[in-house]
Amino acid sequence: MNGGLVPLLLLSATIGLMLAFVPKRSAWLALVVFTIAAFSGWAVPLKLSPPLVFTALWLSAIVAAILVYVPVARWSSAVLPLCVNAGFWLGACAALSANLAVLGLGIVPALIVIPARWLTQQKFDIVIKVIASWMIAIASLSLFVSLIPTPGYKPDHME
Amino acid sequence: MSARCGVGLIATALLFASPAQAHDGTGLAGGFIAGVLHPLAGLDHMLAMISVGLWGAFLGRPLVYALPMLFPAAMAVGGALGMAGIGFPPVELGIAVSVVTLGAMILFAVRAPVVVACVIVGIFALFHGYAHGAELPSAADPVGYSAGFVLSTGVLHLVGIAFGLLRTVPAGTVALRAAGGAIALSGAWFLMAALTA
Repeated sequence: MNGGLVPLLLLSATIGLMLAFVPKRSAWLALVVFTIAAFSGWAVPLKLSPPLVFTALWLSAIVAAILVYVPVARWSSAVLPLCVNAGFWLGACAALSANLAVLGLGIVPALIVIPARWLTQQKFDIVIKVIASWMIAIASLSLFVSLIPTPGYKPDHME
Repeated sequence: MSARCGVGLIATALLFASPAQAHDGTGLAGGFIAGVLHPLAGLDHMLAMISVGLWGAFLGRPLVYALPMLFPAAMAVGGALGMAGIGFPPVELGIAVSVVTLGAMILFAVRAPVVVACVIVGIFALFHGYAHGAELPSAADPVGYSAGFVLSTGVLHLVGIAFGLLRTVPAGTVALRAAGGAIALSGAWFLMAALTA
């Protein structure tokens, strides 16, 4: 079961983390592109099925988080298409709730790029990479749980 | 530098935890709080996570950050196996062995090569992930639950790293190795319990 604001927040934050490793001008451009793509995804009435939207959203988050570790993230030519893709799916996901406020709130975490860039300038980029590894795990588990339904909450193995 | 890095990691983790906590999904069992509490509820999980951070701090760069980065990814793979119900060696046994092994690594100050340390921690992460995945709820708020237990796991690693920074002070290494011994003993107890269950 997917839903709510959390998937949007996580994707948006992951994009912000990825952009911390991109040259400043390209990062701001990518952020603008991401926002425009998100509004486009929200506005275009494609009537996509929720499982497809969430699968694409989690895959986009995984790719963005992996790019944190790859020098290719420094190439704006690779980052811009990803931002278009991620923004579109974020918008499509927000459209499922038919609430523009959800979209607005969902985009805000991308501004984590500001403290993240500061951390990379202070040579603390490892902090970003550790958080990106958490994002990969969360996105992967969320993707798996939507593809492989579990029986539900059961007593813990310690119980 | 490692002390600054550790403080930075902890500060970031704490900053990161607060906004997510405000989105606890439905509030049913299986939400963000349930996910956060899950690794904290079992002493075996908790000791293993702290040990990963401790051992990483003991081994220094690059493992001080490589192990906490590797663990969540391997845990996610284990989680997927658990969710899919794919056969796996006895999970309780694997988790208990992880506590014994990691505790022993710290006790004996084993300076394993990078690849060996990653393989050991990766395999143990599969067991922990499998246990979590098998219990991951489809109902309630699985995304919040996943986020909660991954963040909680990450914070436990950071706690281990923070304790590991004690090695820079006099007698700190002895204290850490003693802590490793205590963890290994606890693991032996879990192992006994798993074998006699």
